[in-house]
Amino acid sequence: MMTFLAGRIGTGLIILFLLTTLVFFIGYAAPGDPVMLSGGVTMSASTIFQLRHEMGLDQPLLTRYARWIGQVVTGDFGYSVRQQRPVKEAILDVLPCTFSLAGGAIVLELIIGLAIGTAAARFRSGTIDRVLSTVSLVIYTVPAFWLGIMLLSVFSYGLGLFPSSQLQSINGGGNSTLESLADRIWHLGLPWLTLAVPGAGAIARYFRDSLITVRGEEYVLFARSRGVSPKTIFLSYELPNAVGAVIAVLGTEIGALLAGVVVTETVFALPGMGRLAMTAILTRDYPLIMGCTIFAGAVVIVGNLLADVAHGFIDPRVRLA
Amino acid sequence: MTNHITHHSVRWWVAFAICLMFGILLLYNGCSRKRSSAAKDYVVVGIEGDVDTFNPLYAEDANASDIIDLVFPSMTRTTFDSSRGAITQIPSLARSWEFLNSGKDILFHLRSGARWADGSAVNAEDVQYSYIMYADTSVGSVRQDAASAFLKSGTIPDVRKSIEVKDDSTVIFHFDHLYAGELFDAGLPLLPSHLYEKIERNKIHQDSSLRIPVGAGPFNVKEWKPLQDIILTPNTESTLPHPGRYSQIIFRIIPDYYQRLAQIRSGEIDVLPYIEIADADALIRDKVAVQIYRLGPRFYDAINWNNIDGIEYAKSKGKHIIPNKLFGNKKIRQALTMAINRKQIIDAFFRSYGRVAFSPISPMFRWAYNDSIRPLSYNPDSAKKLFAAAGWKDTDGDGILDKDGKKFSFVLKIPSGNQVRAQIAAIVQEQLKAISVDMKIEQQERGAFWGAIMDKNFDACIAGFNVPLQMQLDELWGGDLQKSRFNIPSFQNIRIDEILAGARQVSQETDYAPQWKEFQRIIEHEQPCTFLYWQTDLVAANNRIHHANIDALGITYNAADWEEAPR
Amino acid sequence: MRNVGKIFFALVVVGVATWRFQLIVWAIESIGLSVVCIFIGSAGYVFGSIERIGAYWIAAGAFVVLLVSAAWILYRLFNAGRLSEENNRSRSGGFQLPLRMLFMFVLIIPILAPFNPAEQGDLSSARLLPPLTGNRIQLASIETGDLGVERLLRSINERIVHQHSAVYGPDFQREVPELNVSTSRSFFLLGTDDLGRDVFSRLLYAIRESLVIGAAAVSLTLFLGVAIGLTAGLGGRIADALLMRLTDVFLAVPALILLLMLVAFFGNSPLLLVTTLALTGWMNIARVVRAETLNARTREYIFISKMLGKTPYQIVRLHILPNLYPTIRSAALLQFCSVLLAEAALSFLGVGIQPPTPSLGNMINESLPYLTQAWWMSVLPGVVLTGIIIAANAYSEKHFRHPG
Repeated sequence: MMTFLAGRIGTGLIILFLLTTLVFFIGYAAPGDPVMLSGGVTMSASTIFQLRHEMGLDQPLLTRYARWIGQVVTGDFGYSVRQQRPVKEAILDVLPCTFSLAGGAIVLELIIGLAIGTAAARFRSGTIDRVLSTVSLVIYTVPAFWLGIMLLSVFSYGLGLFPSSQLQSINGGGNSTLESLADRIWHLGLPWLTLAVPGAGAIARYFRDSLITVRGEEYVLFARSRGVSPKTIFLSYELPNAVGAVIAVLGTEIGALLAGVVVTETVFALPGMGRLAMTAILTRDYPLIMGCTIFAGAVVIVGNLLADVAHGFIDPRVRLA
Repeated sequence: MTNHITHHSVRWWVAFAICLMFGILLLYNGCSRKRSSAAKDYVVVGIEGDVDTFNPLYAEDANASDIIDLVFPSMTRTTFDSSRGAITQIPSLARSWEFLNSGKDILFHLRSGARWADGSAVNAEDVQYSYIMYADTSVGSVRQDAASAFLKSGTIPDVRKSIEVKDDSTVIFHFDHLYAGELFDAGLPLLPSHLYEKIERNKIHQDSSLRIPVGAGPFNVKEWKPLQDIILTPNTESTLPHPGRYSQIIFRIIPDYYQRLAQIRSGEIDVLPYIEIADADALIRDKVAVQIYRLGPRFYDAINWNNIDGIEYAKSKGKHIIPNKLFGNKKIRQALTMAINRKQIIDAFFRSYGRVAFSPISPMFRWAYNDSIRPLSYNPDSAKKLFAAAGWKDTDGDGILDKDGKKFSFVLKIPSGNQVRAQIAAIVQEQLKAISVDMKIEQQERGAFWGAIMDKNFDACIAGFNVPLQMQLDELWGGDLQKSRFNIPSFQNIRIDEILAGARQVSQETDYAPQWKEFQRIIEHEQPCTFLYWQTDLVAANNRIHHANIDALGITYNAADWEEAPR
Repeated sequence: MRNVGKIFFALVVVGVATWRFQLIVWAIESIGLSVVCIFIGSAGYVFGSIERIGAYWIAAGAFVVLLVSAAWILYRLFNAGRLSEENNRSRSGGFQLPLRMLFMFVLIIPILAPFNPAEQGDLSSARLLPPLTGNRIQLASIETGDLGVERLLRSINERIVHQHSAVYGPDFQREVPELNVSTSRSFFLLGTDDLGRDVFSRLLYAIRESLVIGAAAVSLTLFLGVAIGLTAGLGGRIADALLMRLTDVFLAVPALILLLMLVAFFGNSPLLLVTTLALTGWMNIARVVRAETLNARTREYIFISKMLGKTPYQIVRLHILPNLYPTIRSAALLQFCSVLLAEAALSFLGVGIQPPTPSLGNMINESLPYLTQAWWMSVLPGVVLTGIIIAANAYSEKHFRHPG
């Protein structure tokens, strides 16, 4: 297990390093001067000169590259001229929002996905299966941003059941912790749904297929022939074996989830990573864009790593691979 | 088997509990929303984007400036006399003042007892220190120009001489020359020197200890949640003029206008700046408890024709200025204006809240506005004749005018994110097509857009300006393109430069009205750009806010006086 | 069943031909007159107008082809009583017929769209009309008289481009006096948007934009993916390791975020958009191709070919690529779906295809202010987008996942 873990972490670090390099060279190749583009219009010449110097823009390429890698290793992604503070601070500020959005969405995604998948596998090849498979295909393909807008116009603008934006009400929605928690959940309801639905479609499809595969395995057939109750078979044999596949899918879905975060946060005006990145892009805030990209990459790498490890725990064969 | 039953039942219980919890949450929140019409002790202002910084040295964002005015002290404050259409200065930190040396110096008597939010006194040194900081090039303040305009060359020792600290309660401003905006320029936000002095000057713009400001105005910034809320609470120590009456003023960041609109209807936000006309009408029609305030007009939009050859300008680094091949001729610019139906655009978008603009001087300034000028009217036939007279004809029959092998074809740049401008651009495109002028539209993100405009790298662009309260047009219309960075059409005219130079010398702004009227006549004749419209901004504010005298000065300038209306 | 489908197709084609008869005739006349114009020496105008009018020429040509095939189907139906089943078995996984039909569809969109998608209606009366409502519009017909060839061509071209619209104001009539303008009522199938433009026509053009961008991006993606996959599979250990790490790196960043970064740094002209979409989408294809290549390399016939002295290029072309086709095809289709989604998301976020060119994403973006007033502006583009992707997914599932 340890060698497996060490191997995976090593690969992850290498990828992260290469990603950092890639991002640096994309930033280097980009036309325009980062200082001028990010608000330099109204700065005095001396400030521009000083900022250029501070950002190391007057150095040769290799020096800049070495400096950049050195910075990133120490967790310093540079200084955002637009936000007038270090990129790291800006990112750290918005993380709680993004993590609560993504975390809740993963849970919801699993609940919906597993429920649909189980039901479809239970009624395999029947009408219910066909309906559920169609449903999961449809929700898997529906573009998240459009779904969000539809939910927004129906449940928020139309019925007034949910708030249309932001993470919490004025003054946290109430005095007690419970009240403010309820307020947050209320605000996150539609974004969670928006983010979870497409992923739930994917999970449902995979889960259904892998349940059906597992159901055909010899040990399941054997247990059934021994007269073990279907419930026990499902809970002790089928579920654990089929869930492995789902976790693998979750690992690869993290990228899609982060992409979903960008549009969901934009639609619902949530103060998270996605909106930070969008703001950075619309204001040509180069250091912030680069920081966000690397951070998103790191999250995906860590997510994949966790999924791998979890998969390895559940299914020992994976460790050999 | 029993084991399975418990499994089974536990699962159902959990599921049931979760459903119940969600149900209760929703119900609870639904109910609490209904209750929200009860009296509140806070006001929520819905704003579009986050602010950049609260440091007065560097804040460029309009919301940030508004908040800074509520938090930081200043010598004088500005009020607007709507009957004359002129601004006046009233005392703030300065209790009173006297003009000395025939108006070139002003002696200010400071109010005693003003304190920073951390308890230390606001003293005369703070005043001097603040102006030193604004003027210091190593600080790199964005207000450097405003601060050094009146100082005797803008270096540090001179600031010390220009702003003389007589004693703890007396400061004398020695101005370089007599001009109308002396009191206004003496009214920049003042900095707490005891906090700023601890930081190296060239590090101030990165210092995070100044992120939450310490001021002496009616409010403190209690919390700044990026991309979420900015929460102001009353500064109970304030004597400038007094602590805010509401216990909180919250600036809530909601990027989408329509979400802001929905929230002012539901009462989640109380003040919605810059509401669209149709929506304002709808709010009134639906009897939403809001009042609509009119601002200005302080904003105009114009199609700026690049009067000079931008490529040549860039190539020679601003030394070589030659007329633009398309727009260098004033007859052509007049023709373009005549081909654009401004009346129709205004009727479609602004109805009674817009009016045709012909110069950068707002009708709000009654004393200076030249109401004898009749703007060029829509007349595509005359436009075509002017084009033909200038030699532009469609010789190859492709539907686009040409002359000497060059087509009258250009790109109109517009900043992205403004739907009205995009729509107006599309309308103008159609209208120009009718006189065989080919215009393409290019939307650019604001930063890139302004980058290109500043480099003069454009044919034409839609850009608008919020006119300052003071009649200061040098930056926009001065003929020296290096200095007048916002002279977007790169318009150069000797008489205009004379008028602008003269304006800097008058002691009473309103005395200069005849020259400003002449200025408008020249601009109207030369048409350096096609002014589209003056737009009266509308602000919706909840009826429960008493004393919300939102006017040309802005939205929150008197937020300290806001209080809950008696029921 | 197949007969029903064919007859339906034929009837639709004939129906559209009847509906758009005039436009098709104008377009064909325009082609003819343009040829004449070039010969009599006013080529300048013809070449200048190709950008505006060329799409209509192609559409008319394509439509004539469709019409001929429809006529052939109907002729066979009435003469032979029933259509033969010959030539219906799909070749190569049934990929070509739908692809051809899609191609045809994209070509004839200028004929299918009742309005010019960029043409604004009268803002006072045509804004935000709900589906199935009408409004006053203006129709033009050409005065027959003694016109020169070029004059006639111009009038016809104007008529083609504007069709019926609000543009035929007095100025326009002065410009092209041959056009007789009469007012009539028109009908907006799916309503109009905030600028009085016909949503149905915009949707059709948006589909075209999406499909063209998608197809271009997928082609480039395929090229990149296959090239990188083959190099990794055949190029030895070092190349393999390097390229696979590169793949991992690109896979690590969420495609949308990488896309946003590239678009922010390099801009978003259609060409750059296609390149960027390809740059962020080649990884899966490269992986699949590499795996298949490594697999194929161990096969005996490859050894034999090598011994026969075939060059690596020949081996790839003759033995490896043909084996990859099925995999590449299904991967390409899935990639097409994700490209479509990515492009829509980018345009929605305002950094993809720029207005006034309609695309599904920017139509949804433009609908945001009108969510409560004009549902059709936001709902319809989303339904179309989802529909296209579901269709492609279902198709891929039917033909590739469960072969036979």
